Amino acid sequence: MRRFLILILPVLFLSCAVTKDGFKSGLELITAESIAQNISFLASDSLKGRNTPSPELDIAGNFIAERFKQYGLKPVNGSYFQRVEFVRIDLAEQNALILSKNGEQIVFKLGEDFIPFNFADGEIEAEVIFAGYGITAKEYGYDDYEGIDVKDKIVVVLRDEPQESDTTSVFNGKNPTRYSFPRYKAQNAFEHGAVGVIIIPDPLNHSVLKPRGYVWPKLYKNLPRASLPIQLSYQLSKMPPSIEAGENFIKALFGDIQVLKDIQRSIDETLKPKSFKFENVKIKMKISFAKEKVYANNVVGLIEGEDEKLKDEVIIIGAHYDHVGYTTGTMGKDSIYNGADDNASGTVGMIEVAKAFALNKKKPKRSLLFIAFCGEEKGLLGSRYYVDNPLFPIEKTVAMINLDMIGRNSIDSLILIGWSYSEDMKRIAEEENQKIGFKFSYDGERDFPRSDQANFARKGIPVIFFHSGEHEDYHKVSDEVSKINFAKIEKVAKLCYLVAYRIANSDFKPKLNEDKLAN
Amino acid sequence: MRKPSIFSLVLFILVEFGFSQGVSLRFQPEPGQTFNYLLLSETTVIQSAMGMEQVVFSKTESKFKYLIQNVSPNGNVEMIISIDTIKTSIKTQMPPMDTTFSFPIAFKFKQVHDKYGKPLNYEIIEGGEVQIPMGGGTRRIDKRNYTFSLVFPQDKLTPGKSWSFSYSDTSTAEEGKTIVKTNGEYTFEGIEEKLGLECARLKLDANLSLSGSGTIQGMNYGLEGEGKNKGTVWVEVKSGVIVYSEMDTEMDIAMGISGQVEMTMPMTQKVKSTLSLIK
Repeated sequence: MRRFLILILPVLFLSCAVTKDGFKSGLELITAESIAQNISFLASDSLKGRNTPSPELDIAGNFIAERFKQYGLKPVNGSYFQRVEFVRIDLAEQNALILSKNGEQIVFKLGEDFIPFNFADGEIEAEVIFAGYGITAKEYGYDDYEGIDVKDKIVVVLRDEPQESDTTSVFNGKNPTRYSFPRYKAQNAFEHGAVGVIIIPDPLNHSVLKPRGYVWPKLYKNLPRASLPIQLSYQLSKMPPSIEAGENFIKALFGDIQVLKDIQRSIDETLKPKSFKFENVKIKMKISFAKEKVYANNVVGLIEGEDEKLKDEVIIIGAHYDHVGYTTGTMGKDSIYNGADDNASGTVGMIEVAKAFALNKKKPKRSLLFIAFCGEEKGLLGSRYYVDNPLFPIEKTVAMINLDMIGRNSIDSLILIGWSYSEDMKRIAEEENQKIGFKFSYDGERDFPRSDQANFARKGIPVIFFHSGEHEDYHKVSDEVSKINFAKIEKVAKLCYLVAYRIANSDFKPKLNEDKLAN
Repeated sequence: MRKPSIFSLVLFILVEFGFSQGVSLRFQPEPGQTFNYLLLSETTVIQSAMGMEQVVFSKTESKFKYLIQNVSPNGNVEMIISIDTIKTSIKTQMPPMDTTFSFPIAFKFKQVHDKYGKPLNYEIIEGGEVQIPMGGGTRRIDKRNYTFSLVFPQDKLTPGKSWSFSYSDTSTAEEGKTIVKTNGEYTFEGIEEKLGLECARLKLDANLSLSGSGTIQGMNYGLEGEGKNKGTVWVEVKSGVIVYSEMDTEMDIAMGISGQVEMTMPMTQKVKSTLSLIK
């Protein structure tokens, strides 16, 4: 009974407080006291650092969902959880690369002659096409796939990009562009219909002709076995089986390294494709993975808008709730990475904003979706999953506000990140901040790709990211609740509320800057 | 009769040229001599982690000097190597960064080599670590960049003559151990003047391998790598010290971290460097 009363009393108290209309009544609902209460649980030792995935992350997720429910936020599609499937893949035993040339078979050795990438598994046998660097770069007027049909074929492509290290290159020349990355090459081949990809070293500009492929601890004995990361499962189905093959493979396929060098030189000089089909050649490749599926959740809560025209549009307020877990530390030594600032602080800030909207009688015109993301520390995976599998159409997503690490450093200062991506979001944040009084710092743009809003910007959604800056406890076991400034979280949450309120109650639709949209 | 005499003449010139280019290289600077060096390097690192590729481009400029303290009667050379400053410019695309750091260094170590350049003894006198800004922690200075690393053959060299070498360099610190093994070959190409000094021009072709393991902030890591080092070195005939060198180094490195960050990271590193004797 007692516990029940404790739960009911704050809600009754908060309900009574909502007597005024407009943003002011919402602001009053954001308090340092409830922030302290929530963060003390999320960053406690009992949650063991909220690793993705872990039972403790699930406990944290249930806690957030409970808060959403308690404040009256609605579930989406009947649930407060968006289930995210991850896979941890390791190289299994059966991997092969066999070249059949004029009836003769050459079997290559795993590790020595070829190394699979972790993009996709599968077994294929197909004819072979050399497709230059495997690049389609319209902006440079360059396309290795021009005039060739690679459908159902295995493509062999060079690593890197044309005119490497040439300062007059139509590509960057000095620094490699994204077109040089293996992932791009595999994806581009897949989009052109290829069923398999073999990347070979570029012999013209590089002296090391060994295959690289993926870093499999099975092949690199010095690497800890437990270093294999989790990946988003659905991404595996969007890539073809791909390997990297080295010197022996080049010699077998082209006859000699010099032959490939000459072809490469010719491509570099003319920037015209020199793609061709190998006659009487077939390749059989097999990549097998040992897969372990694991799951975690994005936690979602919805406040529906009231305006008939605008309620289908959504503003997202997000914060990641995962951290990096714990180590098997030595006795008596702290081994739990509590992640109080990173990012229990942003999570409780987001919960406060959700409460402020939910308990406010005046509902916004546009809808608001609150998301606590999993997997941020593993490479922004939860938010990546969301933007690729959105609960509301991306084209109806008007803006995204991200809270990540908002509880440390001076109470008067705040780093505004993403301002260079959206002039509209910058202006709105600055104007609303006049009611709060932070001294904004604008020097954090280099950190833009490091948090969840980056995935939304990639989809063309205008974003803004509030961040209170790094500190000596960043990603250390000492990132504890005792070092958190609850009043600062309250202040940031209030600013977030005001920005969201403004966008939610206006017909105005902020935009991502044109140059960022193009990129 | 005419043709053979021309042939003999050419042969005579070639042989004479060969002999005139023959040289015995020894590491024999004189006590009290100081050699100031400028090391410039451009590094491109392409690494992939958490499904994202990152390109890091850096330019480093460092100055260091050899002070020859003593040369023993049997030819062992004792020298103090000190590094003054390291200036590094780093440019990355993701996250976008273009910054220059200048580290005042007080790294001093003593090295003893025999007269062929073979290292006999190594001892840190001062420093050895540098504080990396932006929360990068402390990093050991890679002494391999600053040590004298040529070991000459005992025989007299004539153009085209090669000799092989191999050495292993182990860096041990509280958090881990890294071993770099180098196997390669120098080829003597001839005598020529470089930076106003009479030098032997040596071509270098070497294979590198790297392995290491340890802990970073309580997380276990392991790394493995292979690479090549190619270039040309000019060595003063009189003292045996390096006057100038041009090097291209390429390494493929695989790294894995376990613990609170589970991460595997392939890295490719390309380094272009020049070392010049400035005083």
